[in-house]
Amino acid sequence: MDTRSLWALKRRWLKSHASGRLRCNARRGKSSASITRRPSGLERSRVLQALVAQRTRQLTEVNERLKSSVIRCQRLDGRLRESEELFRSIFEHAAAGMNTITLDGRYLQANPAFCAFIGYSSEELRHLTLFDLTHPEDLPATRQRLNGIRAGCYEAYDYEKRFIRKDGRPVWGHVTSAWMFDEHRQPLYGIGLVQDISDRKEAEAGLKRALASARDAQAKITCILESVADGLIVTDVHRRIVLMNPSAESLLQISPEQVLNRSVADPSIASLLPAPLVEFLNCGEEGALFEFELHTGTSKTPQALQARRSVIQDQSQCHGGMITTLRDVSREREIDAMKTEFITTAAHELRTPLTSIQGYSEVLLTRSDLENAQHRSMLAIIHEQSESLGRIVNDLLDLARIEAGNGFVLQKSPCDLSQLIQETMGQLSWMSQNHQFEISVQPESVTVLGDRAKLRQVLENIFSNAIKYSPKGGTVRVAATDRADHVLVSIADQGIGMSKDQLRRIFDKFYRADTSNSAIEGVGLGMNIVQEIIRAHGGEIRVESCLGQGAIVYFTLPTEPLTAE
Amino acid sequence: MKKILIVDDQEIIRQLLEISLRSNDRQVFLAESGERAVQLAMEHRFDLIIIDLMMPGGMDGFETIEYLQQNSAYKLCPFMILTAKDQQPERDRARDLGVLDYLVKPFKLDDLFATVDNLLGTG
Repeated sequence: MDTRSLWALKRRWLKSHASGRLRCNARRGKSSASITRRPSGLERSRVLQALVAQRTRQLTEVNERLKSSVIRCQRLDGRLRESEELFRSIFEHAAAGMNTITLDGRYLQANPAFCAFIGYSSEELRHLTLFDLTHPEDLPATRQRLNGIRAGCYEAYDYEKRFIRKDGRPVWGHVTSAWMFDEHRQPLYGIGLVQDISDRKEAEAGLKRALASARDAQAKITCILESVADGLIVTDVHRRIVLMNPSAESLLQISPEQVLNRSVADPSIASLLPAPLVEFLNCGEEGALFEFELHTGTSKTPQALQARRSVIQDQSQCHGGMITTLRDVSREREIDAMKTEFITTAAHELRTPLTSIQGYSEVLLTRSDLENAQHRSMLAIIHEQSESLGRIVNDLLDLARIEAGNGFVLQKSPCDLSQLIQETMGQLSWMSQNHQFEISVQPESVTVLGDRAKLRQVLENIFSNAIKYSPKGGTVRVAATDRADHVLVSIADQGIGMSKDQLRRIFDKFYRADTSNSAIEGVGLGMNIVQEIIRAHGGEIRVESCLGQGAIVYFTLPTEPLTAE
Repeated sequence: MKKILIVDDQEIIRQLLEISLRSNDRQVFLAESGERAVQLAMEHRFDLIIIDLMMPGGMDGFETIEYLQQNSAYKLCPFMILTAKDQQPERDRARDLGVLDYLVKPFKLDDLFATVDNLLGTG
């Protein structure tokens, strides 16, 4: 309401009040005149004077009231202007983004901070809506807020959402919005405050990523701890067991709940863990190595366990407890035992042909009563036995080479396999009189490219096994079949066969199928060396057998196409 | 005529011992297994049994000695072990069975002759 309209109002008001009162007085005068006598000229003049004075007083009062009213209005107008200017200044200079929006998402105004935040100018914003600038994933939340205002559920809200900048980059904003309503409670516009929280969100995401990667790392470490084949027992500085991995659990056959967080000095722990281990956990020094035997319920032979201690040093190089690793060395100890057995057996094996060589040569040298035929047969025995001796020595040398990791150096040349089989068979037939030999080679001649001496060693080993392990005699069947790119050789006997366990270990070094039956010649290297030779030739070997039902050895050798030469 | 039984699974060793020990006043019998030795021991009465320890299949040397010693005819018969095994457990077991003559392969013929003569009381 401006000053001019105020004056107009005043005039209207004065007019109505003045005429009304005058009319009333006139009527009263008229009626009284009709009842009373007509007043004199002097009297009328006095009355008129009094009336004028009264009116003047009244008008003066009204005038004063209007004056103060005008002053009040002028003051209010000034304050309003100040307030508007303050708002304008805040709006223009605020560091936070500010805008006013309509319920349909149009931008009425946007301050420079918001323009900087969103990347559009205020002019550009006039042609865009709130929905154009909202990240698609946050559109439902934005609509929900505006719907709440429309439905009158609330007058203000605040939430965090992503905007899409003009350059396409998403930015996070914390939106606080207060809405203005008309007299019918219809929303007019919303004043929005938008704080850029991208940095905070980025930090939050970074924290989340760091947390996730820390969790991943921890999971990985747990995984590693749980997967290592060695048992791990971790004790803290107070010698309490703080960690035990599944390998340790299964080696010691206890559950971690039984011992976790208990000190190894606790006397009750002795009933749960093997005594030598408890002592080691209590007193073992860093780097100490210790071996003990553990009798478990399931197996007859004790397990050999090796324990080693190391100090856990934390980042500040402080003593953070001890880690004890447990390793099952039963297999190593078993191999050690087999090696010892092997040396004994090897010595024994060397003695057998030596006995014949020394014995017969002594007979030949000391006896003069022998016939020529006897001489010849004794010399033949000496020769055969020295060859047998040579084979054992070769086996030992092969072992030394395999152990050193050198493998075999093959001297390959084309070999007629059927001829080699015939020759080897002929040489070994002296071993037994009660075996029959059947050889079938298809086609009649099969040529392989191989090391003749080594292949002979393979055949000798397998043939002599077939004879040795069928002490009651029977037929040894040898078959060789040419199959396109390889030849398949099989050697079957009718002997004592092998148990599943014996079959499983047949290619193990030093393994002899029947240690109780040590009369069977062999140092326990034969099949291991045979396998190495066949593999060096690019072939494969396997054995089929059942206890009491003989054994069949199959091996393959690649055949070289003749054109390749 | 003294009767000697030779028990060894290896034919060439049996032959060597036979050639070496046979003479005008000694008869030599050969067995390739413990079972065959027991069988021959029932048919003959031997003055000396020379036996190998390790023999494939059935009875080994110790088992054969134990079995024969249960028979009154062989309770006092001298046994001589001729083996390639040269370990203390075998020597101890031989002593437990009362067998004191333990010759290890390879052996000198003179040692064999001396032991045999000693056991037969023909030295």
